[in-house]
Amino acid sequence: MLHNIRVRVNGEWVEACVPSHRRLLDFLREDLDLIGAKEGCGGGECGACTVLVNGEPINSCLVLAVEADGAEVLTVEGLGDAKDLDPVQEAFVQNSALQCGYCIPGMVMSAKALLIRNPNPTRDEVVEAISGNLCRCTGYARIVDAIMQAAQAADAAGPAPAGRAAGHAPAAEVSRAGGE
Amino acid sequence: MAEKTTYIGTAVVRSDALEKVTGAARYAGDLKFDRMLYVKLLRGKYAHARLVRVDASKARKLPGVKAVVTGTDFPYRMGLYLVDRTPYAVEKVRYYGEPVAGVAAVSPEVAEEALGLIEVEYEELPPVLDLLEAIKPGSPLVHPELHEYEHVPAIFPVPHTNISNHFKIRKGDVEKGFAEADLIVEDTYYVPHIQHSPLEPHAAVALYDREGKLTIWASSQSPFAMRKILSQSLRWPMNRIRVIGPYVGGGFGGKAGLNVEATLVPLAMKAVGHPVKLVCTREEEFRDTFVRQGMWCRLKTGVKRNGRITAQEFEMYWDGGAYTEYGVNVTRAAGYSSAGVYDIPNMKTDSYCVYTNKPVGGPLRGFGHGENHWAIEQHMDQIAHRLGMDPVEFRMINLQREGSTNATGQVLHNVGIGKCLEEAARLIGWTKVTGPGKIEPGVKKVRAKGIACMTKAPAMPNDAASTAIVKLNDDGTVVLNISAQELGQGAFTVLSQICAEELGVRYEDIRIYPVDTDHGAYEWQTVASRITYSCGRAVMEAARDAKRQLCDHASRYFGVPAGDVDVADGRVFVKGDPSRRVPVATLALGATLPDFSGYGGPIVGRGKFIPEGIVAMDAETGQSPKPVANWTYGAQAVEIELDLELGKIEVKKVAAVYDAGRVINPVTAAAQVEGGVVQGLSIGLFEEMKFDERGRLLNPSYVDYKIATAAEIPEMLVSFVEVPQEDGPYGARGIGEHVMVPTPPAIANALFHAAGVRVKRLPMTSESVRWALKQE
Amino acid sequence: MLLPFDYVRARSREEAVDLALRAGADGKFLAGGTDLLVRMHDRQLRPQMVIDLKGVSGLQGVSCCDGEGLVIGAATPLNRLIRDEAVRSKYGLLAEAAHTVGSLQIRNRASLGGNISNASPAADTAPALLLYEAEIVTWGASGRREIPVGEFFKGPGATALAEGEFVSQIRLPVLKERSYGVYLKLGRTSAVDLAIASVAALALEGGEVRIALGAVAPTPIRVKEAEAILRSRKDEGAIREAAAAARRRAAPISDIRASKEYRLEMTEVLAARAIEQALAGLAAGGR
Repeated sequence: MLHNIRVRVNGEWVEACVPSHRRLLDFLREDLDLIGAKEGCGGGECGACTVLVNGEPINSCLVLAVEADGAEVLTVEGLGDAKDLDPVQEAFVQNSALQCGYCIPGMVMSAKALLIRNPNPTRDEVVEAISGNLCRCTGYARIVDAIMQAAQAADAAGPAPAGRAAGHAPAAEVSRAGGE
Repeated sequence: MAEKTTYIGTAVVRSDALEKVTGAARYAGDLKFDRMLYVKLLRGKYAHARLVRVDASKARKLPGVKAVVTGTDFPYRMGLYLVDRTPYAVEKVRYYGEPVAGVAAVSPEVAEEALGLIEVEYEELPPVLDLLEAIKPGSPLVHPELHEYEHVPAIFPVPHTNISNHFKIRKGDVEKGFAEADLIVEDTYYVPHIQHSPLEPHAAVALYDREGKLTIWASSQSPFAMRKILSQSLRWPMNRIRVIGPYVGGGFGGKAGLNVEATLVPLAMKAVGHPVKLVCTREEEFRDTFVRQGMWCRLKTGVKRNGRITAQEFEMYWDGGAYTEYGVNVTRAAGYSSAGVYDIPNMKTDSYCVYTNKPVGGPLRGFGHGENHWAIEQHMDQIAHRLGMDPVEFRMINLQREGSTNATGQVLHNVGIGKCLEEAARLIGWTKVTGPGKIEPGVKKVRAKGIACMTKAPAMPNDAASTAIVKLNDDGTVVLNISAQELGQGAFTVLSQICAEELGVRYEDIRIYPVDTDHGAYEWQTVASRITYSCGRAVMEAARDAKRQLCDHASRYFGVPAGDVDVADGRVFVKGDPSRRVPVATLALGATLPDFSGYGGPIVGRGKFIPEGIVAMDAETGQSPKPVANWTYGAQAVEIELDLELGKIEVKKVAAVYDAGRVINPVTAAAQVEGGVVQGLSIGLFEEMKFDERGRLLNPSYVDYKIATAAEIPEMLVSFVEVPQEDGPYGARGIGEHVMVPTPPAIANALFHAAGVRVKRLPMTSESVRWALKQE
Repeated sequence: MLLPFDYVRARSREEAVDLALRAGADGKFLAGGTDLLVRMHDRQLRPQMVIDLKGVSGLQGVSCCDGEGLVIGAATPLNRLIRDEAVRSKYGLLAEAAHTVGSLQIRNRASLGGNISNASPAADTAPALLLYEAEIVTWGASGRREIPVGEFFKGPGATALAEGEFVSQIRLPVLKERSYGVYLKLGRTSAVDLAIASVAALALEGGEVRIALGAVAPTPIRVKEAEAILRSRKDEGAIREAAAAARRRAAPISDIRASKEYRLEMTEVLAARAIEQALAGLAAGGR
């Protein structure tokens, strides 16, 4: 069964036709070529596929693309690029809070969601926000440091917008969703 | 003139940071190609069974299926150290999950549907699941053909048994040593199978094109070794095989050698012109890629009343799994390091790699050492307590030092372990311990400290070499062509630092590109914590070579002797005359002389490194004056809180001290240690692959194979000792694997100090600790 | 990757029931999907039709009716519940228990209705619902039913739901007294794990202490025997006796997470701690 959906991804409305079994993760990666979100387990246990849906972090491997119809989706690609990093990304760079990098897009999105909801988290709150994001390389300590630093930086710089989602970009057509 | 920037010992920002925080970094699973097909593998449903019939005819007819292969289509044996493994099961399946057939189709959905159409008839054979039963005479054989298999000379299979390698140490006279001892302590220890569990599952794409060339894009630590194994097995020239390695999303040894990539080769050869892509599921990642072998061992040590060890006897049995092509080397490594950090005059070690019908054992971060140190380091504490000595004091008496010999009889120099142990004890606030912890009535939680040491050498062939090429672009930026892999350990950062330091250019101006065996400088494998040491030396030499050429150009350009020019901060200048300087760009492609004639030409520096003077160990005694490239030492101390009612251990604080020889980047080095400590903690407390009585893995997911989350992290104090490595760049040696080795035994020793109990079987789950406490 | 199926977003309770009855065993209800999609991913389930309940009216949100307790839409994500002021102030034990489910990402999707409909013996919200004496409101072929939560769970994975029936709301009866609840969950890791054993204790101002257990019996269970011991006495000895009574009621299995014997012991340990902490919390002011 196919469904026509309209999703606002990183500020741009995207229209697509997806089969029922298309996961949001596959829709982002395969149909939109947004490869930042990774599949680590497919079972909602590792958090590598974390993206924000309507501002809340979710595992995109456990959401159907059709369920995201009408929703606002923010992926790491919507945060910032090398020339204009989000404070969270900047803090990850400065704290060397990454190694292999595979968990990092998900980790960054979890951190972003936390700081949108709670701009001044405690260390324990940071740990809780990322305890659904597994990392095998870093031992987590620098990631927690980075998120604490990002919170302080944002605090110093005043309120930050939730991502850099631009307003009036034209809708991109996605002719067909693969998979069937 | 600006001061020459010193990059060594400097915490530059990781070179891969921007790509990784923006989501731009590409991994093998992110690759997409036109005409690409999706691969799914049909996996065996028995631990040990004869394949009576494999009929894929219905699958082949399914629309959208482009290629189907089974074992008989591609019966080539492969392996790095022992050639015992086929990509698909031939005649028999030897573990539950072994590939029986592969399908390449236009979508993953079609590929999976096709798997369901493949008919397989099995005749179940008695599975060999118990390690200690497998070595008994009369046990069913996993590989009756073992005696026919090719292997490297350093491996000693025992024909017509399940033993695929028997490594021996015979040093001094153990009987005499035990006779001299005032006390003999003997115990047994066990480590279960565990998984590397990188966040990125194995992924690869293979293309066999119309000219008959095979290209593989793989998440691999070993593009060159992969090419070599395939070339030897298929008898193809290496220039028909190309391996490209994008970023690796965590390896920990699991992506070394040739792995799931082999299953793609016959599919690619059938679907000519179609890239075929396989991304392992997490279940496959747990069960069907390399795992760390289980190991059971018996350790016996003789000691004098004054604390001096006189003799050691060590028997290790490794649960090698269905194929031990790489695992045999784990056995060997654990054997030659079986003295740990101690100077033991008389030793007898037997390390056996044993075939069983379990998943394939292979290398895992610090292989052999995490396992044998689990035994050795608890054992040392046990002896200390029997002698009524403090564990740190007891270790100090027996530590290897200048002029000591290790298990192989190698005479050691510049040994840093004493400093590491002292520093770790100081950082944790060690106070003398002389016995087991005693529980006061009514107390529900106790705190205690424990300590453990480690040493490890790279377990690699004597010809494991590195090369580097430094190419200057027109604008003075630099391409550093090396084929080390960036697994997250920071290799690209540290190698760029070395290049910048030697060449005199800015770190930011250096780029390293993904590994490509067709174009890249040779690298053996990114394993064994050898990249900073080995590739670092090659980079150093290549950068110096490039700098010599640059200075030669400059000497002609400025009309001064070559010795009078230097390079720093991306500028070439005449020493002592700040007005005479040009950017590197001016001389990168050659010098234009005052008469406008050209000189020199584009600069390409080359460098290479092979550890010299390594002598093969004697087959009977394991003795050698220099068996390995180098030894890295370290010590860790932990403080735990034990909930006596639950049996739950919380690691509160860890002090980790390693002798890195020279720290090139203090931040990436410390980050490696932190990551290793937490992986070690995770292995210590949570991790175990559990099998049922039919050899099926019961927990192939993060639901029931727990790894440490952010909620488990202790306070970590990291420190380095710098006793230079003679042939390392600036004295550096590797630390990447070492850092997770001593964490579990340090926790076990703390547990004893907390409550007087030991859990000699990993992991130290709440339940196992609780039962130990109850028995007490 | 998931295997193909048909997804339908039900617009009403009636349509949802109708679709489910027509699909029969091939149909599955979807709310948060954090259990269903995992099982589909692992190929343990392969429904032909997935019926999304999130658009059905009355299934979302928390409503507070004065003097009548609380009504929670079954498809309400756990995080919404945890952050809801009415839940936190009056039914803190439920918020605390819901907080231990999965990760933050999971709790943004997982629903209260889903957590109980899966009927895992280890369902973290179930002990709290037992202690608040919740009513489970369902819709099915025969219309609306209200099932006391104590009669809802029938065994591992089994509930009182009939074919085509789904949970639409969870009603928490009014709690007039001050109370203090504690949920203790022992997992392997400190976060994001399933319970080896769990105990909920709810101390009420009037002197009653309610106790329920998770993961140590075929269903989550309330332990009235333990509660009876604490009705008149709340000293250390009584707590020990109540904890022992909880252990006697537990009937755990051995599985990959823990042995039966360990679960039994932990039931007693956790019960004693939970009771102690609940009484202390109430004494300190309660909620």
